Amino acid sequence: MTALMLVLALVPVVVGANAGWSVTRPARAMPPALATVLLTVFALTVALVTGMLLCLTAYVSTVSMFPALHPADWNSPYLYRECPIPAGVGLGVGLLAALLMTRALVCVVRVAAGLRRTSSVAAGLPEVAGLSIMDDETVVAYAVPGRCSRIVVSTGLLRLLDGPGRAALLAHERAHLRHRHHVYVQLARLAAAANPLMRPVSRAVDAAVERWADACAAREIGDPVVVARAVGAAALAGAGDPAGPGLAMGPGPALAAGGGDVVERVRELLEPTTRRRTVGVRLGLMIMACWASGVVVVAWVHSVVELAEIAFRTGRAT
Amino acid sequence: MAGRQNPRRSGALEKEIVACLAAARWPLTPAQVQTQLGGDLAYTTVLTTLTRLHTKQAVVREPRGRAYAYSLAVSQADSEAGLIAHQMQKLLAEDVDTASVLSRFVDTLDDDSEKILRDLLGRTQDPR
Repeated sequence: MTALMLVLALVPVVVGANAGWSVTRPARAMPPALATVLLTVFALTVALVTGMLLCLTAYVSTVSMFPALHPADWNSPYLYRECPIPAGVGLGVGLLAALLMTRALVCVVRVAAGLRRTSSVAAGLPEVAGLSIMDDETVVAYAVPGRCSRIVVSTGLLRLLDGPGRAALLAHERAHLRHRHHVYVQLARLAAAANPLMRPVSRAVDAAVERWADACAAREIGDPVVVARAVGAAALAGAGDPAGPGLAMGPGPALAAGGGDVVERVRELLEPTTRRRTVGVRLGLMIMACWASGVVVVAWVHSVVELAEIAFRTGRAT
Repeated sequence: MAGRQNPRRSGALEKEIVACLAAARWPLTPAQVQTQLGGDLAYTTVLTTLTRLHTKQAVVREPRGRAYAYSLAVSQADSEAGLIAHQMQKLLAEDVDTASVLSRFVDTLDDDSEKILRDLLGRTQDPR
């Protein structure tokens, strides 16, 4: 029974460790909206269940080391027999859990600070119908989410595109704001902070969100080729000017998406791939497997603790 | 260009027109704006939107022939606006937290990607 539970407890870890190839890559064949939602839920699930099991393991296995932190009646040979995890290992697991939770907390604080700062700066930008024009020759466009949601575009980029291209750019940024893409992106980043195994999944969410906005723009404009040209033109102009402050400013090595994503986006717009529904089903099954194994392990530990308490009481009575 | 499947909402059209005027280096007449936007927009729709923007004082107009030529209103606080824009740029460049909450249109390209991208886009231009 104990061995089975150990195997079950490792399910989310194994699923998470294999996410790089078993989830991230096939997700490209999914419709972008579905991919975004499922990947975010997947990342959060793995991070939450793994964190929960780490905390539980640490707590249950350190009864002998810190008896004062546990109920007195947990201190029974029955518990040690059913959960034979050395206290030293439990302590290590506890430290790991504390480290991961701290990282998650730091991530939340930093995102909140970033949102507040961008909102306050964006609130000062002059706007018409939610669009702020930046009189600058650099090629830059971005969507600012939050209370004062804005689309900021430089004149450099606007002059680079023709009328339909500009419509595509605006539709793309509007889709980011309308579908609250930043929420998915930030939740996935939080999951990656709480569990580094989820980093590739977080990057996949970043990419899926861009594909989602491209698809929205293509639908609105009525021609995916126009969107592909706009994306391509903006990327190429940015690439030709690496010293310019526009696109060259990377948001740090951890977040830089690299050029491969732009190529994938343009390719998808020009040569739509056949959608595969099985990927979504598999991802859903993996999410459910993580939750199921987590719940079973927690229920088992609960029953062991209950029995240990009974054993403790009967042991004292006799 | 293929016909638009659903009519643009007025907010979207306002943005497109503002973007069009911002890209232009001189004032544009409604007819010029209509041509620049492309697609199948009616002249009256463009004119109505431009008039609405003018009422909002987002654009200024000057007589040209029998019509008006429109350009973006240069607000009195323009230098201030430029300052804020640069502040935003600085935040983006220096601050990972800030950069991570914004969704930018495109990211940087490496040399390989640039070549593949040019190939992909080159293919679309030929048959047109």
